[in-house]
Parts: sequence; C-alpha cells; structure tokens
Amino acid sequence: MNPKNKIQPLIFVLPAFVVYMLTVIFPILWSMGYSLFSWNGINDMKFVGLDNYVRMFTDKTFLGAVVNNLKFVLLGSVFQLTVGLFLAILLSHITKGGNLLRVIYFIPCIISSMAICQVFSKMLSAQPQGLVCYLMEKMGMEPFALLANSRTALITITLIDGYKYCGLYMIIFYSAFVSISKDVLEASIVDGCNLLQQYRYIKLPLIKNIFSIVVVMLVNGCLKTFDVFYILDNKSASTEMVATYMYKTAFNAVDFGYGSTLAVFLVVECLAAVFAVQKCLGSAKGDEAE
Amino acid sequence: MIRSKKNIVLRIIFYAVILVFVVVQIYPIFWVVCSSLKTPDEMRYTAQYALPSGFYPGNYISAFTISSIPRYFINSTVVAVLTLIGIVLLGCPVAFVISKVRIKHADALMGFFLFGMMIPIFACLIPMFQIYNALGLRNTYWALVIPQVGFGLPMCIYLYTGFFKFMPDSLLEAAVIDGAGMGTVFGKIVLPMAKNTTMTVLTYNFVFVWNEFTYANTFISSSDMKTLPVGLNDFVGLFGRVDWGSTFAAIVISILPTLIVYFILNKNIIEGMAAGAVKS
Amino acid sequence: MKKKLVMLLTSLATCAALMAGCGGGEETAPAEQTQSESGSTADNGSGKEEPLVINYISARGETDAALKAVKKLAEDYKKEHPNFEFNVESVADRATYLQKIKILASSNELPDWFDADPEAFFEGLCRKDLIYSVDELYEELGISDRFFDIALDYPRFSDGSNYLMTWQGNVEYFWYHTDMFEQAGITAAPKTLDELLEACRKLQDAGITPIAAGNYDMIMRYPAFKAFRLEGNDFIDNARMGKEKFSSDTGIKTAEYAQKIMQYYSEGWTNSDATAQMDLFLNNGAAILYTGTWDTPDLVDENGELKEGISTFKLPVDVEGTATGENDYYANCGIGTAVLKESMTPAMKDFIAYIWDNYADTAMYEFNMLPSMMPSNPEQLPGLTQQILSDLEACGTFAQCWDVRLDPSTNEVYRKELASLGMMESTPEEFCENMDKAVAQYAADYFDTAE
Repeated sequence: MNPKNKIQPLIFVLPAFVVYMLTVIFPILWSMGYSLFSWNGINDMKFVGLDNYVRMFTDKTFLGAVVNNLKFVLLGSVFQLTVGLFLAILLSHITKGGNLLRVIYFIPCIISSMAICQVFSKMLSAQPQGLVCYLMEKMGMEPFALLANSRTALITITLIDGYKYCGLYMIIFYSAFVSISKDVLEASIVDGCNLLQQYRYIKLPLIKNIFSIVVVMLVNGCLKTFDVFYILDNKSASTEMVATYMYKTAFNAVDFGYGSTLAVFLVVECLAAVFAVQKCLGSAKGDEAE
Repeated sequence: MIRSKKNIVLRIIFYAVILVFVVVQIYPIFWVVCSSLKTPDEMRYTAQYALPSGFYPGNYISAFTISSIPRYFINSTVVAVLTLIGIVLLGCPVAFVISKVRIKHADALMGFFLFGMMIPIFACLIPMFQIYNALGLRNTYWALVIPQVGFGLPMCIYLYTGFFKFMPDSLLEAAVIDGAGMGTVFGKIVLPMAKNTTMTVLTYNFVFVWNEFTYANTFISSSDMKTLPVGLNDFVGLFGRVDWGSTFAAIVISILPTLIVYFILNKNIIEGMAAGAVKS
Repeated sequence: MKKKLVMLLTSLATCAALMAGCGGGEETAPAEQTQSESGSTADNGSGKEEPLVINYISARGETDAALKAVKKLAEDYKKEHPNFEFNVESVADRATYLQKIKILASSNELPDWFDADPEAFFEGLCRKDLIYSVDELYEELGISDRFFDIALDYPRFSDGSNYLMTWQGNVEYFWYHTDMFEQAGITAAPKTLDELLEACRKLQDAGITPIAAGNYDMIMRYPAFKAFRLEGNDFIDNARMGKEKFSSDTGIKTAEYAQKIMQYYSEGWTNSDATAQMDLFLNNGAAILYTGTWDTPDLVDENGELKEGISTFKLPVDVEGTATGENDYYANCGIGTAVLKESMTPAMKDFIAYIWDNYADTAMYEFNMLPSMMPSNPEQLPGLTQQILSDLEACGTFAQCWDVRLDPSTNEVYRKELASLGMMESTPEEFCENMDKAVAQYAADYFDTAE
C-alpha cells in the first residue's frame, strides 16, 4: 500500500530505529573502533592499526575455536532441527493432553542455563559418580567423565545445548503445522495419501518458509553460542568457542582491543553464514514463489 | 489420525516415544525438585540420583531468608513484560512498513535491522555501559529493557516480515479503498492477523529475556534491582563453594510460577494459532 | 479507530518514557555525583556530624563470614552515627565479579570499596594512584602491628607497596584419610615431594583414588610446588616478566612434577568444582584433598576438632630444592578490600578504625572465621584453630599463587595450558614453551619488564 504522506512510515519506524541505534549499531561501531587499539582498561589506549587482526589469524587458540565452532554449528543445528521437528510432529498427532505435553517439552527452555548445566554436570560426573557413569559401569564399561574428556566434551555439550533449546524450535514448527489448513489435509486423505506422503508432499513443503527461518536462527544462534559452553568449560581447547574466547579475552585477560577484534570477526562470520544459508534456501524457495 | 486397527502397534510405539520424551524432558526439573528437598548431609553423602528421604524445607527457608527471591521475581517479571511489549510494539510496525508499505529503501532498512542478529552482545557491553552510565540509566529497569529490546528487534522484524510476505496485499488495498489510514490498517487488520507470529515472537523472546544474565549483572548494582538469574548467585560461598540445596530451591521457586503462567497462556497460543490458521 | 488511538498512544507513551528516561537521566546523573561528593566531603554548614556513604562491591557471597562480620559492625556503627550508610552489593561468582569490576574500572566508575587480589590488573589501578595505600592508612590509625605479618605481606606488590585490607587468615594443608593411607601401606605422612608422589602411587595401586581435585584455584597451585622449593617465589616473580624462562631447568622440573602428580587426580577434574571435590573427599572417594582452612567447617566435628580419621600435613619439602623449608607454605588472607583514594575522608578513617577495633573478635567468636589478626583469648579456641593460628604466625615465606602473579592475559594461557598438561595432551616442554611465548607477548603491558 502507499503511505498517505512521508511522515507516517517514519512514525512507524522511528522508535525502533532510535532504540536499535542506541543499543546495537552505535556500540558495535564503538567496539570496532576499540579493535584498532591496544587497551587493557587502565592504561591509555594505544593505536595499533590492524595489528590485532594480524594477531588473530596467527592465534592458534582462536583458529581452534573457529574450527570447534563450525563443528558445533553443524552438529548442533542438525540435532536441534531434527529433534524440534520430530517433537512437533509427535505433538501434532496428539489429541488428548497436548497442552500439558507442550508445557513439558518446553521445560528445558525456561529453566536457567545454570540449572540445566548443573544437572548435567552432576549426571555426567565420574567422581562422585553420577547417573551416566553409574549406567556405564553397569553396562561393563570403564566409566569416564564425558565432559572432562577432550574427545567427547564437544559432542556432549552440543547435545546438552540442543536439549535446552530444541523446545523452542518445536514450538515454532508446531505452530506452523497447526496453521496448515484442514481442507488441504482432508483432500489429501481422500486422494489416498498415507501419513508419510502427507508430510513429504504437503506438510513439509507448506512450512518451507518456517523451515528456512529456523535454519537461519539456528546457524546464527550456534555461531554466537556462549552460555552452556562457558558454564561447562573444561579448560581445554577442545570446547573453546569464538564467543567464549572473546569473553575470556575481553574480561578475564582484560584485552579489550583484541576482544573487540574477535567480536568483529564474529559479526562478519555470522553475516557470511546467514548470507550463505539464505542463498541456498532462498533460491530453492524463490523458484516456487515465482 | 492413526485410527485403523492395523495401526495399533504403531500407536503403541507412538505413545512409547512420547513417553520417553516426556521422561527425558521432565527429568531435569524432577531432579532439581528432588535436590531442593535434600538435607545438606543427603546432598553430600548419598548419590546425586537418589531420591530425597523426606520433605526437608530448610533449603526453601534459606532461599527466602538469605536472598530476596520474591523481590527478584518481581524485577524479572517487570523487565520481561516491558521488554516483550517493547519488542512487539516497536518491531511489528517496522516489519509492516518494510513489507507492506511502498517506501524507498525498504530492503536497505530490512538489511540494516537484520544486521543486529549477527552481533554478539558482549561486543557491545563496554560501550553500552559507558552510554547508560552517562545517561544515568544504570540501576534502572530501562538499563535492562532497552538493550534487550534493541537486540530482540532484528529477530522480531525477521519473523514478522516472514509472515507478512504471505499476507495478500488485496486485503490491505481493499481497506485503503474503504478509506482506512495506515494506522487503522495496521491496528485493525495486520496486527490481529499476525497474532500467531506475535505469539512466536513472545515465546521466543521470553525464553531469552527470562534467563538473561549479562546485562542484569553489568548494569545493575543494587540488591533491590537484581533479577532471578543474578540472584541465583547469592548462594555461592567462599572460594567457589556453592550451597546447591538453596540454589535449587531458588530455581524451583523461580520456575514454578513461570510454568503455571505458560500453561495458562499456552491455551491462548493455540486459540491464536487456530484463528491464524483459517486465514493463512 | 479506538484501537488505532490506543496503539498510537502506547507507542507515543513508550517513546516518551524512553525520552524521559534519557533526558531525566542526564539531569540526574550529575545530581547524583554531587550528592556522593558531598557525601564524602565535610558538611560545612551545620555543626552536625559529617555524613558518610560507602558503596561497596564485594566479591564475597551473602553467606560469607567475613562480609557478615563487616556488615554487622557497620550496623553497630550506624547506631551511633545516623548519617552513616553502608551499601553492599555482593557478587559471589568470581568471574562475574571480575567482569563487573573491570568494566567499572575502565569507565572510571569504581565504588568506594571493592575487593581485589594483589594481581596485575589491580596493580595497574594502584599505579594510576586511584587507591589509598593501606600501609599509610594503618600507620595513621596506628594499627599495623596488630595484624599477622602475612596479613600485611600477602597483598604486597613486588615493589613493597600494599593497597589491600585483608580479612582472613588461611593456611593450606593436605587433608587425608588416615585409614586409606594405612590400607595402602603408607606409614607416615609424606615429608618430601617425592614421598607424596610415592604415596599417591601406593594409593592408586591399592585401588584408591589418590587426590580429590576439582577446584581449579587449588589445581593451579600444583605447578608451583617444585619451583617454590627450588627457588622460592623468585622463580615466578622473574618468570612472569620474562626475566627467567619457564623453559629453564627449574621450570621444566616443576612442570614435570605437576604433570606426574596430576595423573593422580580424580577422574573428570577439569570439569569439577570445589563442592564436588569436598563431597568426594568426605565420601571416602579419594584419600587426599588439598585445600585451605576456609574449608575447615566441613572437615571438623561439632567441637571444632578434625573429624575422626582425617589428618593433615603441610606442603612437603624437597630433597633437591632447599630454597624454602618446612615453615614455608601456601597461606593467604583471602581476597582483600581496596579503598578509593578520593573516598578516603576523616569520617571514612574513623569507620575503618572502628571496624579493626572490633573485627577480630566479631569474626572469630560470632561468625567462626579466622581473622587476619589474633583474636583475644586464643587459648579457649579448639585445638585445630589454635594450630592454624600458630601456623599463620609461624609461616616464613608464603608461596605465591601463580594465577595471582601472572598478568591477566598470560594467566588465561596458563589455565588452558595447565589443563592440557594435566590431561597429557602436551609435554612439560610444550607447556613451558607456551608459557614463555605468552609472557613475551603480554607481560610488557603490565610490568616494567626492562631492567
């Protein structure tokens, strides 16, 4: 539709614009400025040009963190997407008690990360023995601490993080399924579609839009992941993420300049990833819309 | 859906799978509740997966006496409500303008807002602190609300535009022909139709707002203004020793009302969805 | 139409509120400042007592005995000085606390009182002349000689200056289960570092987990054991500035020793915590626990004496390294408290004097915590407490914690490298090499490395 005048759209956009500038754009530009300096919060800021960026690409811990993070994005997104979708499908076939189930499946999402992490770190602890190690022993395995072992820690934390957040994607998928028109489904049953075919040819294609939104959310969220990895830190390089490394650099090592550099990298990385995802999924969707 | 008799096996499997998930999803909260009822000795000397021997209220008493959980709860609620209202009120109109109103540079505007999704909050922490400090916003609810609204906007706008794309223009044009202004179209047609998306936005943001820790810790330095996630740290003792019993009790106190609210709201979400379903 | 109006109004209201928030803030910010300034300067007008407002951000938890004692004394003080206010914000989680203080410091918004360890970041603040010298303060109040020596020496920087008031006296011991030692055929508590390794091996052979480990602050002590015996604190004091290499003979030896002893840690130590290690030890899950006397409440019975079957030994000596002896061990005074120079008024001094006049007895007898000075009537205290007090007094050279001495950036590297050393993912040589690299890269930002 056409606006009546130029002011009207402005009124609609301006409040959001102001808040957004004040909280997101302005601080990140400020931060980009920091990335050109060497500053530890007490001494005077020293202009170092692009030194921090040069340092970043020779920093082994950082490069390791990038690799870890990409592994996590891949594993985490696939896991959360599958489980979220699966739960949503399960839920959409429930007739009784669906309301209660939706609440139950959503529980891990609303418990604070600290509580979830504590539950898992107790469950996975080898000494004192937690549930998982107890079961390992019963099954005749040598119990070991999954979270402390650098070979298993990344995958374990991926699962914990996925467990915490998959309920969110379940809700989004579920609402998408529910909003599919009943007529279309009934027509398909009349046409002799079985359950699998229904999903294959009708339901999933219809929620394609939601699907791509979720993928973007997932990839973006996983790239910036912080809390679960930070809390379950096992001090080894195997679970370092870019965001946790950035936090430690900025606030533990008080290297605000370099920390800001890592932040800038994270922004660029997210931009690139989301662009790529959009490109892949968007082109497929575009064909259909035309 | 699965009604025929030959599918009875399938049905059993179906319910078994559901049950497994229920157990898995409910276990952490069950574990937290159990732990909150254990005496300090039980915590220490029995296996962590053992059930509590009885009902020990001591942890709850200390949760209420050592830290002011009810106070934190109110703070968290105020911040969450203000933030959620702010996100929807500010975000939805922008999405509407971007996708339904013919303006110049709509794509650029969209890109500008989406950019925010890529930014890690820690990158903005120091500048933000300096801004809020200069503005005298530290130790106010605004210091927690504004940044979360700002960072919530991109996803909110993204979700809304995703929905608006599928809203037929003809509907709006018809209203305009009937003489409705932009405000009316937005308030009377667009907003009610987007109920479904609004629920998604609210649910999505609630999860993050409710558990938000960083801003609350950085911008608040008065005990009266603490939010729940920050308040949970009240039980950390000397050299990192944590009074887990009380912490778990505090966690239970903090999530129970949330669960109840969510349980009630959930019904509205379904109704909103059903209403939305007819239209899309 | 109505809806439109409501919409418009609400969005307008939100804007207005936001603007008001901003605008109002700008006005109130300076007002607040003047208020706090007038809070700390003398009240010229009336003859009333000058008001004193102390904002204190504490790294101690709400349940911490030292903080409780100070709070109680502040309350007592307020009874006689109605214009006094003591606002405490307690941020118990250490990482969270440090993040907060670092942001406050970088924005010049430090509170009147805050907690700190004598580490490099805090040293930077002192170099900028922001903090009131505690040596001077105690001198002015005439109370220097009432503290344990360590209470004054522990927070001292290498140049001899001291900017922190310390509240506690802690000694670190190896606590062990005597029956487990017997079971493993160990007859006497280890006297030397090698005997300690030997004891661990015997325990392991007997199917007992030798060391309950989890608290990373304690784990970070282990690499220093050997170096402390070989060269005393000189090693870390020089190595942190690059004046000595970690890959020197001493450095390699100490890393080798650390790696050996870390193999005797309980499974999963990198991901454990202080509570878990104590639970493990008390549940007879491991034979040895290395921790400080702040943990005594868990290790003693209701009379304040050691629980049955638990005994202690101090940091063993070394045959090879004799720079320090059996009276030199880890002892500390907990995290200290700094007072901003600009907040140090006569009224502030009066309050601090009041605190120290009453603190020792309040802490010891009301909150059961060992204070940084001798309480009155120590002879009526339980035997263990007396032993700790005398160890505090007797402590010759106390070992420096590496994580406190290193600069913050190198410290981050240290944490990581130590984990991979302990998990056998790197060799002692690699550990030392990476430490040297980190020092070369970062130390110059904090220390005057040139000499």
